[in-house]
Order: sequence, then C-alpha cells, then structure tokens
Amino acid sequence: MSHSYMIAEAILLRLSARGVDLWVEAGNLRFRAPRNAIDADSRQEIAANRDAIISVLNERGVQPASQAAGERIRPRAAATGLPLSSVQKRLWFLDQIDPGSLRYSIGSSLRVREPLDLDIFAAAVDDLFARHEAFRTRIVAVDGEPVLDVLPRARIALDVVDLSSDPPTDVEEAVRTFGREALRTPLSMAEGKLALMRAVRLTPSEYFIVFVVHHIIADGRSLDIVWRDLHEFYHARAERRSARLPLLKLQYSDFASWERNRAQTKGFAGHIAFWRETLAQAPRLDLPVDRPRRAQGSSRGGRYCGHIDKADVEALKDVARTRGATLFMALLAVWQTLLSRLCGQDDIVVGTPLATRDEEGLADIVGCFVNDVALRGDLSGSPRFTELLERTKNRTLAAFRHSDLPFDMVVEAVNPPRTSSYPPLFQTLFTLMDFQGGEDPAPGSTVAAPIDGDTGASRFDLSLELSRASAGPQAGAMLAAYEYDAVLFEEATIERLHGQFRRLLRAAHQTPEARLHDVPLVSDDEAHRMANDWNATAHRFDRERPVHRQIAEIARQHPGTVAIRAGTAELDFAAFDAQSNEIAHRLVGLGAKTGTRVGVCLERGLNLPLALAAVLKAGAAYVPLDPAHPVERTRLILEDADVMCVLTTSDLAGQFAFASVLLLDEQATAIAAAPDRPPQVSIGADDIAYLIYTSGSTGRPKGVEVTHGNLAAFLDAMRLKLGPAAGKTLLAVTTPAFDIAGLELWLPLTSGGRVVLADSADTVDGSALTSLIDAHDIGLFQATPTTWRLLLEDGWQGKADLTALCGGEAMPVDLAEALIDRVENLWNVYGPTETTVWSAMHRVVAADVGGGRRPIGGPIPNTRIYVLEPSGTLAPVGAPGELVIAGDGVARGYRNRPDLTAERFVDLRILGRTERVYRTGDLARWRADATLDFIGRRDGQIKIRGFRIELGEVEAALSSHPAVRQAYVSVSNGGSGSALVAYLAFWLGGEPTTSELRRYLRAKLPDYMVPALFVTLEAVPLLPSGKVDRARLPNPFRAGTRAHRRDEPPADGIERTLADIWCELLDARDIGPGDNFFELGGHSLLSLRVAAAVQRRLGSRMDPRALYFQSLREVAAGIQRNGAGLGQ
Amino acid sequence: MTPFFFGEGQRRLFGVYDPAEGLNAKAPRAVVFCAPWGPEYTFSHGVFRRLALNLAAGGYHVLRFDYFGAGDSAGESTEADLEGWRTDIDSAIDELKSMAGALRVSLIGARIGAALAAEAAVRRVDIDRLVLWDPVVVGRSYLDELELKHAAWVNERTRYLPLPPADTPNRLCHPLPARIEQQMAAIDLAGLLTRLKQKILLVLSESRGTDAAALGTIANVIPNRLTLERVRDRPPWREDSPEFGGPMPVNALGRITAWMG
Repeated sequence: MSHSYMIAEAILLRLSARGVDLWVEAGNLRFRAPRNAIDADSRQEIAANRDAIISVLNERGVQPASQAAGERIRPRAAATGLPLSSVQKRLWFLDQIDPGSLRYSIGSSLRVREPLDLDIFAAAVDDLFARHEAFRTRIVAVDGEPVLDVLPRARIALDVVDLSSDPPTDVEEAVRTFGREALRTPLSMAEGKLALMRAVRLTPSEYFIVFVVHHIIADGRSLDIVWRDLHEFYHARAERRSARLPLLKLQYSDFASWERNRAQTKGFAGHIAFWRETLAQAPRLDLPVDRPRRAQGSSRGGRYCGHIDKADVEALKDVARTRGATLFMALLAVWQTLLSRLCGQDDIVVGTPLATRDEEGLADIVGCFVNDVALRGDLSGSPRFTELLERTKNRTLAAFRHSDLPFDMVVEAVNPPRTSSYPPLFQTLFTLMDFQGGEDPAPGSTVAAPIDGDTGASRFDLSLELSRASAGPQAGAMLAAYEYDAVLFEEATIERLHGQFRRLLRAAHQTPEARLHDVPLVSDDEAHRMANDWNATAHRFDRERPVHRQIAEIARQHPGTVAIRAGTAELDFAAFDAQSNEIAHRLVGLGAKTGTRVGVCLERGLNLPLALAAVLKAGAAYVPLDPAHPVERTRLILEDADVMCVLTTSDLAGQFAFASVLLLDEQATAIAAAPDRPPQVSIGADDIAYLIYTSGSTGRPKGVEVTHGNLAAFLDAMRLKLGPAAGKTLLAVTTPAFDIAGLELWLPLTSGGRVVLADSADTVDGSALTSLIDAHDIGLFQATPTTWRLLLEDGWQGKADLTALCGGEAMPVDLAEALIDRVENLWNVYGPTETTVWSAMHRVVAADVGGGRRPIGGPIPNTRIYVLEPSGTLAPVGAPGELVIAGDGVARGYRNRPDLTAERFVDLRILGRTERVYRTGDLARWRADATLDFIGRRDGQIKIRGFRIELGEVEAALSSHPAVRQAYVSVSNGGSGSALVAYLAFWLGGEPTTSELRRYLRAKLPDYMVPALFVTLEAVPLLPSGKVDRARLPNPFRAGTRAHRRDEPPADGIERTLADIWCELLDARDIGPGDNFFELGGHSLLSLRVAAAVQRRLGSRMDPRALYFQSLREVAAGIQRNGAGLGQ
Repeated sequence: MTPFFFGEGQRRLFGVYDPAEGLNAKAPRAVVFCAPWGPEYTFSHGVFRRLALNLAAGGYHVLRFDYFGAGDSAGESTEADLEGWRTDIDSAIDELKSMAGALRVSLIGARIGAALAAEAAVRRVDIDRLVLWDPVVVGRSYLDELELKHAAWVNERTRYLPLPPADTPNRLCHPLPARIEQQMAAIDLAGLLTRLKQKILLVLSESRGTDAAALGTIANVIPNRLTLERVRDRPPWREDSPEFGGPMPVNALGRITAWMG
C-alpha cells in the first residue's frame, strides 16, 4: 500500500469522525459536512491529496449514502415489536444482568442566563419528545428477546428546584451537586424511564438544567441535538411560530432495522473473517490493581481529570503527520505502550467508539449511533516510536475499514472466553473527542456543557477520554478524563498513571526514534524515593566477625548456658565450643582449609550443628547433605562440590565409598583427643562459609556460594529486626540442606539463645511439634506454610509470646489469618538462597488479611531491593517488575557455573551508582506505602484462557472453607486446553458438593480462578521436603477406559477379516484392534454368527466365548493359533 | 471418568463426568444426559455409559447424573418428583458449564428424560442442541404403557409365588407415588416441540407405535430444525430375556454420535 494511499485513508478517517461525507461524482470530489467541520487546514490537506483520496474512494466504491442502491435506510411502518440495534441489544443485556446500573447514563447540562418561562419550557420538552421517537421508546422482552415499542406519546416530568429565594453560599458547588445527583439517579429500563430532566432556578434570570438519558437511546451527539431542538422549540412557542428544524425522514428504529438487514448480507463475511483473524487469542488486559478483583465487576466508578500541554499535543501531531498518521494513532500508540509496561504484556487490545451516523438522514436524530471497535496493538520487541506508530497506523486503518460490523457480531464471531469479571475483547476504552468549538449548540444566553460530575459507576476497569478543542479559546489544549473502577484502583494510582502518560507522550515527540519502553516512567523524585529512601537500610556491622567466632564469644560469656538440645541430650556453650574445636582440628589434619569444602551428612542430633560449626572453624565451607535425599542427587552434589571429606556416621557412610569420610561415631575417641581450642585459621569475610545446592531448571542442582560476610550480615539484620526474640529458644525443624536452616542454627547461638533440634520424625508430626513448643518454651519458630499447617491441623492453639516466621513459599492468606491471633508476632519472610536466607520481611497485621495482598515488606538491614521493568528501568509504583536484590547478602555466585553466575548476578546502574545485584526471577511491585507485594514467578505464570492466575490464591480460598483439610491446585490439560484442577482432602463428614465449593469460591475469586474440577483425595501426597508430590496426583483428564488409540487400524490378515465381520454384524465403522465385541454392542446370539463367519471365511474354528473378554487383536491371535480359547 | 457429587444442601446429586478427549482448540462442547425413569433407567445404564465414552472420544465433555431420589443421588424415590428433577437438570447444566468452561450445552434425553430435556431447552437460553430418544410424547400414554408392562411382569412373577405387599404404588418395583404420576400425566411433548429453537435429533426405535406417528407429523411441521432418525435397534429401556437389560443399540448410538458431530 503506497504512502499517499495511507495518507488519503488517514484524511478520510479524520473527516469521517467529524461527520464529513465525501464521494466521487464524474471524476470530481464532492462532500457534505456539518458547519465548521472542514477548516482551512483540512481544505489544504484535501487539495494536496485530492488524487489519492479519489483513488481510495473509487476503490471502496463509495457513493453518497443516499445513492447506495439497495442499502438505503427506509422508514418502517410498524410501531411495535421493532428490532433493537446491535448496540442496543448489548446494552439491554447488560441491564438484565445489572438492572438500573448507572454505567450507561450520559448527560448534559444547560446554563441559562435569562428569564425562563418554565411552562413554555415544559411544553418544548413535550415537543422534543414528540419529534424524537427515541424518547418514546419502550423496550419489552418477548420470549426472552428484546423488542422496541414506539409509543404515540410520552412525557417526562420536569423536576424544578427553586433556590432563588434562598440562594446557596457557593452557587457553583450547588450546581455541581445538582448535576452529580442527577447523573447518579438510576434510570429504569424495565419501567421505560430512560431519561430525566431537572432544572434548578438559581435566580429569576439564571437556571441550570440537566438532562440525563440512558445510552441505549442516545449518544453524545444526541445531547447536542437535544439542546438545539429544545432551544428552537422554546423560542418557537415563545414567539408563537413554527419551529424551524430539519425535517426528520427517519427515526432510530429505522436505522436498527436497516442495520439488522445489512448484517445478514454476504458483504459482512469479509468483515467477520477479518475480525476472527485479527482478534484470535486476544489476551485480557491484566491491569495492576490496588485491590483484588471479585467475581462480578464493580459498579463503583471514579473519575480523574488531567491536562496535557498544548505544545506536547501539537508536537505529537506534527510527528504523526510527517509519518502519514493521525493524532489519534499517535496517542493510541503511546497509551498502548503505557498499558504494555504497566501490565507486562506486549499484546494490548483497547476499544474505541466510532460514530455510525454516516448514512443519510441520521445526522439530526436522537439515538445511539456508536459502534465499538477493538484495536489490537503489537508492542513486541520494544519498538521505536516511529516503528510503533507505523504498526498502529496500519492496524487502525485496517480495523476501521472493517468497522461496519456491529461489535456484538464481532464478539460472536471471535467467541472469546467469557467471564463476569471482564467485558469481552477489550477491558479499556480509549476515546479521542474532537469538539467543534465554534459551533455552540445552544446559541444565545445559554451555554451547554458536560455535567461536572460522574455517575459513580464505571463501564470498564479503566477508560481514557481525550478531548481536544479544535476551535475556540481552548483550541489545542487537551483534557484527559479517566473513568476507573474505584473498587480496583486508588485515585492516586490514576494520577500517577496520568503523569506516566504525559511523560511517554513527551518522549514520543522529543525523540521519536527512541524506544518508548526505555523511557523511565518514574520521575526523578519517585526514583530517588524508591531507590534510596525505601532502601535506606545501611547498618554498621563487623563483616570480619564470622559465625563461629560469634558463638565462641557467647561461649566465653555464658559457658554454662545450654546452647543445643536434641531429644534428651544437650550441650552448653562451653561444651559446644570445645567439641566443635576438636572436630575442626581433625578436619584440619585431613587437609581442610580455606578454599576447601567438607560435606556434612548427619541425622538430626547434637552432632549436626557441631559438625557444621567445626567445618567453619577449620576454614572450609560446609556442604550440607540430607540423608533422606536420593543417592543420585547426593552424588551429583559431591561431584560438583569436590569435597575433600564428608563428615558423617557409620550408618550413612555407605554412599560415600568414593570419598574420604570422618565418622563422628566410630572415630569419636580420636576426635575427643584433639585439642579443644580453636584451630589457628585465617578466615576472611569473602571466604565461603557454605555451599548450598538448589534445584536447577535443567534438573542438575546448582551450588550457591555464600560467604562469611554474607552470613554475618544476615544474622546482624535478623537481630535488628527480631529484637529480643533472636536470643530466645528456637525450635529447629528444617533440613540443613535448605538454607533457611542457617537461621535456625546460627541466630540463637550467636545471640545467646538456644536451639532445640527436632528429630526427623517430629518435623512432620504436628502433635510432636506442639509438645516440643510447649515443653521447651519455644520463643522463636521458623517454618514453611506446610509445617505451620501441620501445627494448626493438630489443633495447636498458639503461644502468646512466640515470634513466628513463615517463609520458603508464599504464605497463604488463610494461614496468616489463622496464625496472627495465635502468636505474638508473625513475620512473612522472603528471600532466595542466592542472597542468603531472607532479604525482605513483613510483620503481618490484621489489615493484611483478606485484602488479597501478599506483602513481603521491605528490605532487611544492609539489603536493597529494586523492581525493574524488562528494559532495566525502575518500574513505577504499582507496576509489576522483576525483583532484584543488592547488598551484603548477595552471594558470590554459582560454583562451576560462570555462565549462570554472569546471567543472574549482574551489575545494575541506578541513580548514578553501580551495584551488584541478584536477579531473582520473581515478580513483585512496590506499593505507595513502601512495601513490596509478591506477585509470583516471572517464568512460571499460569495462564488459563488468557488470565494470569496465582495458584496459591486459589489454594488459599479453598483452604479457608471449613470442610477443607488440605488443598492443592494445579493445571491439567483437558479436552479444551488447560484447566484448573483442585485436589482436596476434607475433614471427616464434611465433604461439600462441587456446586457448594463453586458457590463458596465465587464469593471470593473471579470466576476464571474457580477450578474446573475438584478431585477428592485422602490426603495430598507430599515429598520428604514437605512439597507436594505432583507425580502422585491423579490426572482427571486421563481417559481411563480407552486402552488403545482409535486411529490404529486392524492389521492386515486375520485382524482385518475379523474386523470386517464385526462391522457387518454390528453395523459399525472404525473398529480398532483394542475393541471388545460386546462393548461395541454385540451379544451372545451375534457371537455365534461371528464364529460361523470366521469358520466360513478363514477356515478356522473359533469359540464364541473368546469374544467375551478379549480385544479384536487378542481374538485374532487366538484364531491364528487355530482354536482360540478363553484366556489365550 | 470422574465421579463426584454436585448440587446444594440436601439435594446432593451424583454425577459422572467424562472429559473431552484430545485438545480441542475451538470452544468447548458439552452435553448433559437426561435419564429415563425407574426401570428404564436401570436397563439402559450401560447404553448411556457407552454413549458417553463415544461422545467424549469425539471431543465432548459429558455429564451423566442421577436425579434426586434415584441411583446414587441423595433422597428416597418417594421424596422425588418431576419438578425437582427439572431443577436437577438445571444444576447439572450449570455444573457442566463450569467444569468444561462451556457457554452452552447440548442435552440428550431418553424417554421421560427427553420430555424433561425439551422443557429445559424451552426454559433456558444456553441449550445448543437436543437429542430426544424415544421420548415420552403424551404422559398419560406413557403411564398406560408402564401399567401394562407392570401387569405383565406381575403376572409372570406371581405364577408360582405371591408378591409381597408394597407400601407405595410401583411399576416393576420402582415406587411411583401419586404426585409423580400426576406430573407425568401432564407431559405433552408435542406442544413443546414447536416452541424449541434448537436443532433437534429425534431418534425413534421402529417398534414404537402411535407416538412415533404423532412425532413424525410434527417433524414435517418443523423440518429445518428437526432431524428424524428411525433406527432398527431394540430400545435399550426394555427388559429382554435372555439378554436382560437389552442389547447395545449400535445404530442409535452411531446416529447420535454422528449428528452431534
């Protein structure tokens, strides 16, 4: 398509929006236009592109609407049972779902500054209603289908409030209130009350009149028509003359009939095909909301208005023009870029309303002449603005070429998945209004204007209406009006969004060759606040004071204080220090030193912390190995870690046949003979303290190298955050192979506290844990959500002075709800192994529960957290981004994986400084209160039918049901694609039906998050780590009764002949080798006929009973062996 | 195949869900079976199981269920009535829509289930297609037919031993309280058919009598939407000695599966 062609299309589009009708007649360009619709600039543009415009019009075969043969709108004769237009049907349907909703009320106001005869005015309103059938419309349902009846007469009461005798102090505020109340007055489709008119008399010569009408019978242009006609009717009556108004040859119902007939013509097939292709698999817009979305969309709306500088508008318009695009296209490109960055999507669909008054005879009638068009934007590849503008232009022009198809038909054709939480195809509306500032619809001492207020409802999550006066004193300035769902969004969020829109818009025209995705959305102030103020966590501590030295200092101060207890055995600090020194000396003797690694594989008991401390004292790094782990995993770890020795016991030593071992049981005497003072080993903060292995995406575990400095920083941070709780008695339950065990062992021992080490059996026994907590007066307990649930299921009532930490997985809301009243302090802790145990923590309060958030608080001392967009720029508050962590907890990297280390541990340039950060791969967002919300894994987002789903949220909702004991939700592939499946274990005697579960969940979740299937289990199977064993979950979509593939045909020979016989006798087709005769409909008598046929055709005897339990293939095999019998 | 319970409160209904096989990129297709009553349900149970498997293999999500007071659903047979079964069908439709993610479902009804399915299709806006298999056309005639079968059965059974007295009127040992009998008597399928907007497959076993003629007449009146299939198979809701439970009506199953597409 040539450049001039596209320019011509753009010009036609712009003029069409202004109501200008252009056509070619005898080779000449003709037009018909409303007054002032074609200004000097437009005339010049048309002249300059005349030939191209003529080419486009000729190609389209455009004639003036009045001359389009066979497509003319004709007046109809009937007055009842009339069809609704497509848009009316949709609005009627929406009203059935939510009767009386204010979402589709529109209104306008009139300020009259001259004396007004209200009787004449009321009569003029009657004239208005008589002229426009839309106001005499009643919509009724016949057999569930809506039809229109046009009444011969209809009136509305003119409600008048007289304030002239007692004028308000603030007249303008009174006027605003009056208008707002009118807009928020429900209309009733069922009762036929689709409009209201109210007037307030401010003074004897000043009135304020508002007219509110349902969108089903009017649009914005209709409101202008109302005031114009009303003005003329009033003055005609006052002057006792006939009203001088254009003759109305048509009414809206004529248009509706014509639209319905036209939609059934073949001409629409092309449009249908276009939209099916264009909007196939169109995704939902996942706006970052401030509050959770519920099952039914909200009707509480908010409105925010902002301005865009005239200079920015003009500059952007110039950029657009030089590239053959319109201002609309440029604004749309910027808006879709902003949505793309805020939502983390590069496929964005927005809707825009188009006027459909093109046909002759419609310009002056009241009615809803609007068709919504879905505009799909491709933001992939972070394009330069000029490139994006080109994409937007092409897509917009294509969409508008096919905009004749009513939106309802587009939805039907595309057939997207539906849910009550989202409107179909697009969830945000984008409108550019081009007011004709020179045409005052109500000339004289009257001024018509939009009502200064809102309906209090919102049609979409978020809509943007840009209005620009093309003439008059405000010419060039742009007002941005945002209508938003106030249940989902705070006003501050919308205000920030407007600032971001302006920032992008300015960047688009200042540097059109730049990528808008690289433009910072945050202002300098915001960036400083997020990067500095919210990360002001610096705290002085001694990096060179490793863990074992801290313990030794405690031992010197409190030698007789019990340090560790395991079962009935215990060690005081002095003994702990001495014995760990002895082991350390033995290790040194074996060659352990700085830069080496020692494996530690021990059952839970006193030896475990002794061994770990000993390795540190020897200068080596410990590599914890869980005895319960598969041998293969242990082998891989040892191979990678290249340990010089393994500390273990004789019962576990068998798997270490290839390694040097130090047996703490068999060699206890020799160990005890070693010196009990610390070995003289020089250890620096950057030396490795431990090497912890985590799962790799390829299946091969990767070893994270954590230094002494990392560990010291972490422990210091925990002491600051937890206060005295750090020095209490802690119940340790976590396997040392999980890095969070580091807190359980080292925090109490370095803080003067005590560690009670639960044995392996107790760690999975809620009752045992309860006993331990009580018996040892536990003051600090850290566990994963799974372990906390064990306690709760055991009926644990809590401990008033307990500090609880929950981490390792996202903490479900219901768990928080259950724990918060059972403990003194509940902390939600977050952090990857790569940044040393925990990096953020949040003290959970009651307000967090039920709000749908998953707060992880802020960074711990000496840690800094940033949320970054894919471009690497700071994500604005509320927008999702990757969480990256900097500070003293960032580990050295992955052992033997320099490529992976380079990929995940990177340098980040931020506000003029460079920091080494770890990229977590987690998605999070900052909230305005400087806390972080965890969203989920960037690479592990679950999407079902286009919706992003956090499985944990569904599980939390299920777990809150009183009958549910355990809940696990996963995604399975069913016949219609992915589906959510809930695996549930119930309390005895309390199993609800699936309907009851659905009803319960729909009160808490959007319906796309309600699982399709509920599978009942005795218990959710778990791995030794406490995580769900997904391999043992039944797949409800696996076909259990089909043992073969239908598409495998019978083999040639006996199978084929036997299959033919069966087909003849059973009158069946497609018999496969796995089919059974009786399952296909055979019976005993028929089996005899099969045997007879086999004898006849194959010359073999066949026992009819062979057909009972065998497949065709098995029967054929039996025949092959000549004399098939049972079981052969 | 997933057995489960749905419904609310005391009306706990047993259902069996067969998910659609194969990945279907189009909108999900779903079908609910509306079973016959009493002995006809018992005799035809295996047939519907086979039909469910066939349709699931053909890409349909299928839900079979027991009405309240029948099979494994809650309630005693004396507590049930047609009005309740109508709501059970509604529950089943809603449940299957949720499970399959479907916006519309088709209904396959047999005998009295066919009449109830037709009523649901008039009542609801989310019914796509309708299969009526040997439907009960005139409720009174159906009751007469049951009376005859029962009498023949009693005659056979009491040849050598008397039957024990029954507390509730029954047909072939299936309780038929007066309430249910009255509601069945009110069934008039012919009047419903003309009000249906969906595509209909009417499957008639050749051994049927006057009802088939009446339905054939109706089929001529609304030809565009109704497909009439006469099949040679013996109806599966009859007890046939010595097979007991009836043979597998392969032709009918094949026609239904093919028409469902």
